[in-house]
Amino acid sequence: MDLLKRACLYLVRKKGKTATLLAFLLVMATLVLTCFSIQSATITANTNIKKALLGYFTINAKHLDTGITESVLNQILSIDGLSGNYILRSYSYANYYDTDGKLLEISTEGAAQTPAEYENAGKIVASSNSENDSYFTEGGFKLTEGKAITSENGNAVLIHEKFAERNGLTIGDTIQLFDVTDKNRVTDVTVAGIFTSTKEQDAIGIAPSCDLYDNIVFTDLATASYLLYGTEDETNIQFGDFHVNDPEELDRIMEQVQEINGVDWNSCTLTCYDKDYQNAKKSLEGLQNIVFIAIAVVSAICFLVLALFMTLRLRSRIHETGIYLAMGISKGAVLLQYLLEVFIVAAIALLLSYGASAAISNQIGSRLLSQVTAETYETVDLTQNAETAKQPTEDLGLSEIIVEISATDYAIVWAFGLVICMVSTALAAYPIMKMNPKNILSQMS
Amino acid sequence: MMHSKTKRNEVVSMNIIELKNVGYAYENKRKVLKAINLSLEEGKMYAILGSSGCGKTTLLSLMGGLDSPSDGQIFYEGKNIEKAGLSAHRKNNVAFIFQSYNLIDYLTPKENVALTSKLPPQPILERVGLTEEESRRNVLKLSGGQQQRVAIARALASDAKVILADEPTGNLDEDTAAEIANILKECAHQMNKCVVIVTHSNELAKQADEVLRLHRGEMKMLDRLNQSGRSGCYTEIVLQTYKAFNR
Ligand SMILES: Nc1ncnc2c1ncn2[C@@H]1O[C@H](COP(=O)(O)OP(=O)(O)OP(=O)(O)O)[C@@H](O)[C@H]1O
Ligand SMILES: [Mg+2]
Repeated sequence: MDLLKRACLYLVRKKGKTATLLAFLLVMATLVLTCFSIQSATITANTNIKKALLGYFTINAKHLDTGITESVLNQILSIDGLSGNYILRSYSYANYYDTDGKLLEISTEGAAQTPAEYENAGKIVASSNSENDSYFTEGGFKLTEGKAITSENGNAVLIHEKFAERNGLTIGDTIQLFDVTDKNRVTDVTVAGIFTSTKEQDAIGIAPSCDLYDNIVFTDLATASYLLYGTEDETNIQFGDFHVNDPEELDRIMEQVQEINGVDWNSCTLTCYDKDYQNAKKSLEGLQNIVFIAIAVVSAICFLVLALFMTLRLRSRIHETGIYLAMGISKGAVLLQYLLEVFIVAAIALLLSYGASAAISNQIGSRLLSQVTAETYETVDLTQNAETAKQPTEDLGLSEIIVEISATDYAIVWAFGLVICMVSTALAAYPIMKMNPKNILSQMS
Repeated sequence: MMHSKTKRNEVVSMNIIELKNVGYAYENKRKVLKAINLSLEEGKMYAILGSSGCGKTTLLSLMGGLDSPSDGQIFYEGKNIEKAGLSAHRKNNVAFIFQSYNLIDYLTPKENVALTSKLPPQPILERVGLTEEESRRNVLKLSGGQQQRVAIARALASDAKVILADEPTGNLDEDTAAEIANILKECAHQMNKCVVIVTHSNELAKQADEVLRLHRGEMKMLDRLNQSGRSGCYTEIVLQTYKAFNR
């Protein structure tokens, strides 16, 4: 009779013992597998957080004589790790004239004292796309007529509806922008759209007339660059926000930016924005640590308990071992039979654990992750970042994470489980196998 | 001492197991066995008598390679059994019938017999008196005597040349015991095996070709027990065993 048959007969005939071992291994396999799947879910969550909680840095080049030139900008944009999502801005002040050279009237209502040079001026806001400008995204500005300004439609402006009304301007009209500091820089622009502001004036009572919302004119970056720096074919910019793919890389990328030659980086301000990410990361790392410790503890306990269990199991089989040895069946073959029994039961337990763990880990996993989401919500909220604080669950995409058992995890648990079973069986069998058959047989009774 | 096959048919004697100055002591205790010299032949049935605790089971387990002697050597067909390995000796040369049956409790009688043999188990089990139905039961659901018969069948089925039986009829009624004794004798005489029986029963000892007495760790050879069976009527010959075989 070969040992595979003996192993199978043992499992079938000793149903109670087989069932106990199976239940025991099933619980352990499910536990470990659940820990593993939650761990990989936290890794997915981390990736999602990196994508959702934008990490970015800003460059303020207001104090550079030429701003950020186009060639420097291109060098920045070619740095590895940028997401390709960036916002450029420039600010200036200009006097507004109509085509006949007549000064257009600005609002002065509620304005504080205004420096002499700026008495008739308004603020020029230029960005790569006016739709993405914070005035429109957060400041309560709304386009009521016409279309947004992008880098493509050059020499165009958006004007406030009150400014338009006051000066009888409509879409398609041409106006002139005169730079306040250097009257020689003048450019013709077309009114491409009219906006309104719903929010109350910021810094009411202390803002000079040129900063009043009514007097703001949105234009493209090239126009602003001409007004600021007198550039003709190039577009230089004052401010840039550059988003990165991985917030972890912000430091590296910002260092690389400052290695670009020909720029007096000391006069620029570079600021790193990754607080949201760092906060979310912290709570996620907390969960990851817990899961990691859980895996270690569960594995260690499983190993110990299994070794104990196997010792008891084999102790009750000393007699049987002695009989086999007395019949000349080698120790190796006897041990192999015992290993094979455990192997078969472990394989069944591991198969069953897949279903059990899939059910459990999804329950526990989403609960744990929603906890992290809640924590993230709180920390994000503290940063006063309205955008991410609004609906963090959606933004972070954590609630949608399905805690799944990946093939690799499953394979690891299989390998791991079988090794633990084999080692603990071998360890439990060692003291018995060390004895000679006579002693084993005289130990029985 | 090696004999050729042709010679074995003419001459009955052929030493299959030989013990030379075998001594044994359980861990740092007094010697249970002292310098035992013994030669056992194929085709014969031996009975070993001795008071309880005198070391009969110990001697049997040494011959069967369950343990190594503290002193001396044991030879099987002229070769030291330790050289070839005790496990191989147990597997190929000897079959045990234990005092306490030692059956595998999750196997049926048939499967227990099949452990050591490739022969169909049923005829052998029937020969020791188990029915077909009994042969398919779990061994724990058999009576003590029936379990003993399964153990005997398991030994008979193996192709080992030496059968070592420790009180094989201890749990059997007289008739069955006599039947088993006959089977073991047949085994020795017809299948040319060497059968060694440890027993307290004079009836069984009477069936043996040779009777040995173990006393105070030493082996004494007795004549065949008096055919009349009256105890005390046999002559003790105090001789070293190897001298006894020079006849
Ligand atoms: N494992 C052991 N450790 C220590 N002493 C032992 C061990 N087994 C047996 N003995 C002792 O060795 C002696 C011989 O024991 P053994 O079992 O060989 O006796 P026996 O002749 O078979 O007796 P019985 O007729 O009662 O079966 C006894 O005194 C016994 O107490
Ligand atoms: Mg005994």
